[in-house]
Amino acid sequence: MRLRQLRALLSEGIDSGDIRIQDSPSLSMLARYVMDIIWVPENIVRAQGKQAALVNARDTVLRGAADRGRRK
Amino acid sequence: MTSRGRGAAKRIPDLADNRGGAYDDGTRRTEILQTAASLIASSGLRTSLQEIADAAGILPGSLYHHFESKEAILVELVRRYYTDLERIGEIAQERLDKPDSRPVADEIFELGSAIARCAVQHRAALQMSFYEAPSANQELVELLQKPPTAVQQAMLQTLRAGRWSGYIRSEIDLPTLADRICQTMMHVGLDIIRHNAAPDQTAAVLCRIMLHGLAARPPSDRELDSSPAFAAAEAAIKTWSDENESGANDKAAHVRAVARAEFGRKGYEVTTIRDIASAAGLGTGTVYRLIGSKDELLASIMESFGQKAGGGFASVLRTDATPVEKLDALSWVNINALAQFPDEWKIQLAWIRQCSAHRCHASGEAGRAELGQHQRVGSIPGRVEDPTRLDAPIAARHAQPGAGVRDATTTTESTAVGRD
Repeated sequence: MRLRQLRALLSEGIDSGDIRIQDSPSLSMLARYVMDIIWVPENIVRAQGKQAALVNARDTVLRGAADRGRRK
Repeated sequence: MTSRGRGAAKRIPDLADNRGGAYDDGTRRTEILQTAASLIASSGLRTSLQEIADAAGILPGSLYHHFESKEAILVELVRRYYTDLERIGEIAQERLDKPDSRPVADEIFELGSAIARCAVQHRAALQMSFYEAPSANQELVELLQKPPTAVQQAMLQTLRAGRWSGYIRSEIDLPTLADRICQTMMHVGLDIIRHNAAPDQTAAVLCRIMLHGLAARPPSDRELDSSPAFAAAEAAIKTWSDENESGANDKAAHVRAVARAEFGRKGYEVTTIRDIASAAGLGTGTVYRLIGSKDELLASIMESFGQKAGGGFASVLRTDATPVEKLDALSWVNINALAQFPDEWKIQLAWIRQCSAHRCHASGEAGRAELGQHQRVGSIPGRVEDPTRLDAPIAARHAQPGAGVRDATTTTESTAVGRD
């Protein structure tokens, strides 16, 4: 159920242009991957605290760790 | 990226050549291990020696000629997994010392893919190395407490090269990112994540997400903090502590709280109702009357956990925030669930370790519903078909070999709120 909801959310984001992913797999697979990475590993939460874990999540899942002006 | 290093004539193996692993030696011992790994990956750690012998086409007595116990097999599987991981890390580090004109992104993908392939190849060992639990086997305990560090170091060095070249943003904490990427690549070894996709393909998509992000326009922390989705997440998280307080006076709630702590501390497998009764200051009969069997107790604890995390998930999705804001808020719900319910988290992992979807059957829909996707990898608190098969309480510890620095757990964690 929740994986389906996440798939719908990703679909909505891709359609609206809010979300973009290069060479995207199927939405079903993408939902699985995203379900995985929206969980920051427990050791990071424990060692660095919730705020730092949130920043890590944003810097990876949403913004990406790379400088968008330098793709390589 | 510019050329690096000293340069030398010695040929360094390609990471992509590591497909067979260091131990693909064709011996009978290796065949037995491969059979055991395959069974454990699909059926969980409840797999018996008899089943391994049957699948390998030998008599149990002959199996004992190669391995004295099931735990001896587990030790060897973990040892081989670690050896291959270490080798990948060493090769990657050697390559970093050589002149290389490839873009850093390609190097990150290449190392990530090698880790992912290794995790898939050793998925039985990966499964058991994920989570910490007590074990009677000291050798296994010690082995799991010393995971290899080479891949994480190699990833960190690669990211540092990326920082120097300007590819990785300056505000990113590199050790944390290296840890995160390595752990995520290991998750590729979990069927629940990869499903039927090729390991390289899965690794590439996950790397691309972590490096380039999903948001078309990178949002600021301030924007995300003020989103309606984040507010909904905060409101849902706040109700968790309210619920805890209201249940504190209830005797059954007290037993559940004690049990949660005992399961988390000692491991679900080895904690008995008698232990729980003793820790709660009650008689064993009273505990049975209040909360039923150990499996029923586990189901009720996980139901409560799932309702909390799932409630936050639903609240976020109901808002009119953008999809990116909702993803951010979901991450926040998950972070808080991990921070506030570490015992539930560990308990949940016990079931992944012990069984699989094929072998564990939920006694009730509640447990099934709350553990969500975990059921696919076998984490349903419920009826144990044959309790005597809980014969190998495994001391798995790390999701993250290489995390001597930071011990780790993973994602199957994701499953507390995720199911199809």
